[in-house]
Amino acid sequence: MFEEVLSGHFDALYRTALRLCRGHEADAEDLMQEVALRAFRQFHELREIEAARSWFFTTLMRTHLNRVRTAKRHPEIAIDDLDDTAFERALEAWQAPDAPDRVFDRARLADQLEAALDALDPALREVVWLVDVEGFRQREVATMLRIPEGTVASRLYRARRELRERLPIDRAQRRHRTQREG
Amino acid sequence: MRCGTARRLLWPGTGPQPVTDAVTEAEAHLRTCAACRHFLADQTAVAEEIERLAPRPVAPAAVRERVFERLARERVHPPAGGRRVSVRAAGLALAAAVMLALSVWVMRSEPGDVAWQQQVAAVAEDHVRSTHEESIVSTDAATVQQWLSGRVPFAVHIPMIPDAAFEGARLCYLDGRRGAVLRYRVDGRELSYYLMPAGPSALPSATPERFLHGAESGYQVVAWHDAGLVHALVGNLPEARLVELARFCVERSTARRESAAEVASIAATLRRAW
Ligand SMILES: [Zn+2]
Repeated sequence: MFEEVLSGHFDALYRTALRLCRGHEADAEDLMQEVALRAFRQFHELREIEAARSWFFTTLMRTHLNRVRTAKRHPEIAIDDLDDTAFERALEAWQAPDAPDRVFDRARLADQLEAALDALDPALREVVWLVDVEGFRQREVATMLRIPEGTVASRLYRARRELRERLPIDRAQRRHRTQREG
Repeated sequence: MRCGTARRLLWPGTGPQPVTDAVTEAEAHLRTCAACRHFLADQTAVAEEIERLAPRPVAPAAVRERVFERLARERVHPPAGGRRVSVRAAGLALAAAVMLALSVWVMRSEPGDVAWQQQVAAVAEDHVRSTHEESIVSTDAATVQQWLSGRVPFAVHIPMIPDAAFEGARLCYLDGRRGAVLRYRVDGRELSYYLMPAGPSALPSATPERFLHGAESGYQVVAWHDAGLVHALVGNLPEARLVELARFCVERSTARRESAAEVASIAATLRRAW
């Protein structure tokens, strides 16, 4: 029964839709409506119920991408993906972070992470969300988004780096660092 | 090997990779390079931190309801000639939900039944016909009871459910059998009370003491078997509330049957029905 299967994944799909729409609830609901109908019409494609989660997320990501393209709400390609050489250069430029502060407000940090996710480039946001939050394998995400696995890896690295830079704890650390250096 | 190359080749989370000479070399590099080991550990730590802090709101119940309502309409009106929005949409969705829920139960009671998908289609089609069936709008139970007698092959007693406004009744077809739907309003929401003759496969494990619960398309359904009839309450209400209302209906029905005359009358009606 389609509705039963959808119901089991509804919350995860909704929260993902909400992040794809940067927290706009009406847009997320609109997206969910379209995803549910599309999935319902293509339910016969799903051969194994174990694959339902990945299949629903694929439908969600592709529906979202189509909507963005059709609505031209965002530029066609927002980021330049890195080739292997550029990715290696970026990896090599990695710097060990300072030890985290002992005392900080986790609830506030969670809010800040939400804001930081919404501020990310959409291409980076969807990858870090699918891999780090929803727990999909990078290979699965590559299939979902129809991009090479290496691109998933480089987007993921950049997304994590940007999130870390935007979190308040790191801003505080950078301030200290600047003061020390200055 | 450069650190950047080693980090790309050993990038965590890519799943099984072919062990090439380059990968072997990268692993050797890792054993001697503390910075690269630190890098890999840091990536895992950042990923875990994001995983832990990420916002995970649940979908609002209203969103869930609207999505499942739209799906229920889609089952009844596939978009062959463009999308139509029926003024009866809410009622259609509710009736479709109860039929789907009942189909699920039939399937569950007969796990080997591979034909249940077709049953759903047949049930949905019955449903479309049933929406054109007669209905009566009246808050007077006696009037509605009289209207139903002769239209359904069993006696209908309309319980006056506490805190529920009775609004009328209509006929329905389910699984080829004619039933009655009593309409109430509870806590501002529509509540349907389905009464149908029990078919051979209907809810075998349900009794007046044992309810079957189900949630389908955003609606809660509580069903039971009593006196040869399948009873089902369907509504967009909390399950506990629906069970409470179902218990009330069963109590009313039991109290009624304590009268010997009533029992005889029900038996006679059932004999005619079978
Ligand atoms: Zn190294």
